Amino acid sequence: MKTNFLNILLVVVLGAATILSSCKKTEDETKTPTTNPNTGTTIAVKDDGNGIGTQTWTANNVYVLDGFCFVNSGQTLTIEAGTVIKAKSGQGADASALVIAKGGKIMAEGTASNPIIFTAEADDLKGSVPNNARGLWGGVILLGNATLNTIPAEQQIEGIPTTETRGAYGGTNDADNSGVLKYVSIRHGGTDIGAGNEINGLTLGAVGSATTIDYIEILSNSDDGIECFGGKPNLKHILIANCADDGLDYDQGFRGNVQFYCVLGASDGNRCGEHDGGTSPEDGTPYALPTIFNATYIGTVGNDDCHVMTFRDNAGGNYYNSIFVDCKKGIDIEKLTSGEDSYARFQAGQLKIENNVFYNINGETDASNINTFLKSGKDGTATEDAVLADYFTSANNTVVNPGISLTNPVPATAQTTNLATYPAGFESVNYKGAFGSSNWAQGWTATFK
Amino acid sequence: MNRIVFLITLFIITSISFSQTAAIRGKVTDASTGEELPGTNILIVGSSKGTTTDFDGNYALNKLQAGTYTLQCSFISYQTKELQNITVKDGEVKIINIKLGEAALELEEVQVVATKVERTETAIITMQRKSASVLSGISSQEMSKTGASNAAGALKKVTGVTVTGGKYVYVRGLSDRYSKTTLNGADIPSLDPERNTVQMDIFPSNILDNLLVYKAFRPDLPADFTGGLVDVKTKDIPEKYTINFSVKLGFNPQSTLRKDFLQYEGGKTDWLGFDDGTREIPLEAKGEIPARYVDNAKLDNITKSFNKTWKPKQGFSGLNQKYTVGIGNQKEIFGKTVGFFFGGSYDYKYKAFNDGSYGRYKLTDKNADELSSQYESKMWKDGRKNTIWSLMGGLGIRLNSDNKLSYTILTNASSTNDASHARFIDYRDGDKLREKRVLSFNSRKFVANQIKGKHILPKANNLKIEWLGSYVYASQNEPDIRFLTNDINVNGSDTTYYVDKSSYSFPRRFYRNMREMNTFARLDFTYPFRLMGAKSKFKFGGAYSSKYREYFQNTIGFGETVSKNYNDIQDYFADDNISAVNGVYAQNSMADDDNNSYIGNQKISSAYLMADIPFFEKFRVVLGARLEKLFMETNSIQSINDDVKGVGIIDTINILPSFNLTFSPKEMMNIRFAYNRTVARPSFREKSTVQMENKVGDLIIGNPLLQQTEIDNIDLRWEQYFKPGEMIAFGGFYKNFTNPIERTFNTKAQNPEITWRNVDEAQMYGLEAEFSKRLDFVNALKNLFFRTNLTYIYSQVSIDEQELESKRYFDKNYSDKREMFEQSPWIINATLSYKNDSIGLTANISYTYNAKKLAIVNPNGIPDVYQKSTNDLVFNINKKFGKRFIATFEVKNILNNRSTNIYDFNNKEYIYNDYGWGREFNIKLSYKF
Repeated sequence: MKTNFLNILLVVVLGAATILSSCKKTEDETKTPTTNPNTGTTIAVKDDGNGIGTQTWTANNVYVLDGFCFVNSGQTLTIEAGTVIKAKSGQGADASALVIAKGGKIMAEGTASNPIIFTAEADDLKGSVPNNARGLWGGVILLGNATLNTIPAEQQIEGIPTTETRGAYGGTNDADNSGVLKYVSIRHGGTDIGAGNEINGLTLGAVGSATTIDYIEILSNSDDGIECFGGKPNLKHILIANCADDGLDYDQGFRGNVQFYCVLGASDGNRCGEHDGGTSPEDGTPYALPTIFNATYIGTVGNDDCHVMTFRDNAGGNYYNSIFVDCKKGIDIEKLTSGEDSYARFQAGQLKIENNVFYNINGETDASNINTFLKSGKDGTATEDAVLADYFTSANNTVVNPGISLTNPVPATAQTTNLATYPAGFESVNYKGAFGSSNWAQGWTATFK
Repeated sequence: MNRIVFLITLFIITSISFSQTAAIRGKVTDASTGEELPGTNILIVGSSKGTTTDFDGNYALNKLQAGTYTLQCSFISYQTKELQNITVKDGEVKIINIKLGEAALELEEVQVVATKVERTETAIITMQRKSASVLSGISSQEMSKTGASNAAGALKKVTGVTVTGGKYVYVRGLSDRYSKTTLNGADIPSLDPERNTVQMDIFPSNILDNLLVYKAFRPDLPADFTGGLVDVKTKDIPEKYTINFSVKLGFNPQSTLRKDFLQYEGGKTDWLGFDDGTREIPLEAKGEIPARYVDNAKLDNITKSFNKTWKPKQGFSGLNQKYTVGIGNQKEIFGKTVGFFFGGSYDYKYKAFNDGSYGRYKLTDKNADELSSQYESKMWKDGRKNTIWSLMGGLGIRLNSDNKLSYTILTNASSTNDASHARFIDYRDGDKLREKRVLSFNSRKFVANQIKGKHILPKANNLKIEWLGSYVYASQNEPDIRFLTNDINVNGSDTTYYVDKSSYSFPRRFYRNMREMNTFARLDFTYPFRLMGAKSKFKFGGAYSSKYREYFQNTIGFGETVSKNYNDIQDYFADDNISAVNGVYAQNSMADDDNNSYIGNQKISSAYLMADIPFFEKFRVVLGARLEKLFMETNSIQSINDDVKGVGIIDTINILPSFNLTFSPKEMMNIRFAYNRTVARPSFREKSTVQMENKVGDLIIGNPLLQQTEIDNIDLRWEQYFKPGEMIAFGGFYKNFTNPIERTFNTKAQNPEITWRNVDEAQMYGLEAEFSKRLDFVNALKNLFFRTNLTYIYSQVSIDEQELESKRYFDKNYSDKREMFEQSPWIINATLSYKNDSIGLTANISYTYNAKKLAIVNPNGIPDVYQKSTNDLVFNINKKFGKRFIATFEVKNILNNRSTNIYDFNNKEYIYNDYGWGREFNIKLSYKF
């Protein structure tokens, strides 16, 4: 009974403290780190429920995330180029992750010579943790105000209990700005946060188009490399390596532009691209209609789960000028016996796979068998398969060996012919795939040191 | 140790009681009201021997010689009654219950021959008839007549009561949330902490004084019931020496005497209902498990230290067994009457099914005309070993005819040892063949202590004071629940197994622990007085209850660095596969973390006033009000961070009025009207934000904002009584719920997340009929007795806003109301009994029907899941051998009813789950003295 009383007392005191501290905060939104930033030591980062506050993390320190750390609405976290952020291990509710809540901002602008690195606490960056180690901590989550196609229009990001309101994402502003992530390497994340949910390397929940996401490496995550829940973020120069699930996963009406996206598959990985339209409901609007130019998806031979891509749950999406090699299975487009499906999106011209290069899909290297690479999934029949095969051969897709591998994704034989025209918002390059003649990931990533 | 001393004492007292003198004992009640009559004079005609009844109306004429006696029973303003030809043998205690009628105009003496007394209506039926509110029940005399061995069996004989699963009692067909069970008027926990109703089969019938079923609230009852309150009253002072014991053996073709019973190796004390430590977290793994690459050697050692059993195996199962014993007696010690009882039972049961199936479906969009399959299992097996034991003891002392004290202790433990295995096809991910295994052990216990007293102050116009103090400790321990899901990869003749962690969780073990302490005290004053010549009562009092609960859980996952194929999934956990660098490793989520615990605290203070006043001869009114002050809080995490707790506080005061009017136009007829206000409260679990995964894999998360529900109840009822036990009643009720708590889900969550929310309102309209009749209008059928009750309930509840938004996307016209959760619209109960005392034969056949009811509410246009109607038929036959032995043969679930839950969409049924536990055949031998 005494503990009871103490608990009540504690709650009262905490409650009072919360009220007092929140009063103070309106005057001074800026928080200073708990220890002197100039000493160059390890600084623990813990969220007391009020977010970590507006602050700058500097390259001379190492920051250690303990638990879920939120950048609350109205707060901005600035991270200097060259800063290393580590995270404590733990699963379930004990997982550590950085969450930029709706209305919060992250300004993490690294450089090719001084990238910003997110990794596990045990990683000394000198090899104490091998490149292939996964699931040592959570991941980075950006939540925004852009549109979803769900009911209700606001959702709770997976892994964060619905009682934590800062886990909400989704709104009406497709031009929302969550800040900048540039030259950022996110390594060894993806811990299990409960009931089969794992944190993706980078989770983008309803992130808007004004957000900059460029030069990102996701290395060895237990779940997907990047998962986009709705919204309209633009992704450029992305390298996904050795992730246990999918390379690029989208859902709930993702409509961003993607260019230079490279997936290096894992022997136990899943699809290079998993593309869902909506879940609740599947025919929610806006439909998932992203445009992807210059992707390079390299699968792993001998892995039965390795698909190039799956389109389902009414997902649309267009792929141009991309390269897909070394997968067990090609592309499948879901066809259901009733209701809206991705096949309907294909028929409506909202799902296109054109001007791409394929090689070694289910061992197939013969150009005359290209019609086997695109199939209807789930309840689909030979009728739909025939339609898809006809389309695929006529859509300027070719079977050519570009001479790329998991260790070197830069084509030995540059693929420069038969290019689709770049629309506005895309960089006009004269090659297919994520790389031309050089590797933009060289130097600042752990994959290509 | 104390318990052993206690038992030894009991047996010594028992042996003393075999002294060779005769006695006549019994109870004197008012013939018209059924009330006990204290202070009645009992005389043995033609001798100087006599006594007076105590305040319970009990009398005892001890130390008599064998012989034939005539008793004279007299009480002021009552007709004096003479009972002749009462024969007692040496060592016998004869129970003679006497009813006195109020003297009419002139005082006259009534003479009755004792043998006829037993045939008269039992006190409790008079009580039901004469009660000021709707209640029914069964007395100890009736229990011993029906031969029911425990309270659950006895309640089957009570009209308007449904007993499901042989143990849970439903009154008026209202779901568990609106029912309540008390022991001697004090709260006792259910062995299942998430239920309100208590398993009634734990109370042996010979230690029970009576079972009362209140169907309407009165101010002197706790206010948190709406459907019914079952009060189990134990005997303080048994009338005579009784002993009974029974042995039951059960056979179920699906689960007993089989070689393929699904099970796994547990601890050595599983049969006693608790774990011997086998399932505890290994010593190495207590505390924080280091992360990988921090101390890999230590981590590997920890991972290796866990028990390696993850697969259930098929093995032998024996017969179901149940043993009960009950002893009771009264004794004069230093001139005081001291009574005691002791009861114990032990039950061990095998349950299994091998032909279960389940599936999950989704409605993809509003144009879809059929459901899309998510996953389906056509091979689902389950094996369970259930243990329940209970020990109960009581000691009562009658200090004098005005003061009585008693002490009751009840301890109860149960466990379920469950092993299940299912193979399913996952259509979400390319029609993959997968399997899921769950091994679990759930052990529950509680110890309830009660001390109570009853006093009459003759100088204060016989003011009656009753008090009770109780302390209950309850716990639930679920050590080492193991969940294992894996893929099956069939490649020609080559089958391999692997864990696809991107589709489901890694193998995990859960350790869950709950403790609860409950202190309760009540004090009641009853002041009798006469108003316009009619016996009236004024009653007032109060109660205080304090409940404290702690819950902890610890989850340990077994991750794999790189997914591998195994020839046997057991190899996943093999020592040579354990490696933080290239293999399997353990990872924990700590029990001491706020994310994994909650503390619940509840305090209820109450006070009441009520008056019970008969007037104009044919009317009786009970009116009053109860004040209940509730403080309830649950401390659990709300924000993801430790410093902000989700404190769900309810702090309210309710004044609960109660008005019950009975009009008796004729002696055997009642017309009743009642208006009452009651409450329903959320459970600690429902208010805490701890996430828990159920066996189906759904996440359950409470809602700290839950508030109390207030219910206005109106009852109208007509009753006609005939010969003893025969009656017919029709009634209607209306209940209006403000802020009812309904189970729903979070539509914002990405994975199914079950929760509870208060919705605006709900209404319930009910019609009831009760009928019982001896079929003696045809002579050949005179030994048959028919008893039935029917309930029709129309309920409607507001749909939660989130739920409605999700439904209306798919169907614009979706109603904003639906029926209440788990509320069957039709419940039918019927029993046909045969009883022939001359050949010592009784037989019963009982049928219970529950119409289709809402079982699971679904988001996203997925149709809600309904449990199909159930038909339960039970038969038993009992034969007496000699005076003491009864042999029973019983068949349960004769119709082999299954539990089937379905989605119904576009006139097509889709199976959510379907399983049946099979028929049960029991033989029982009982001895009664």
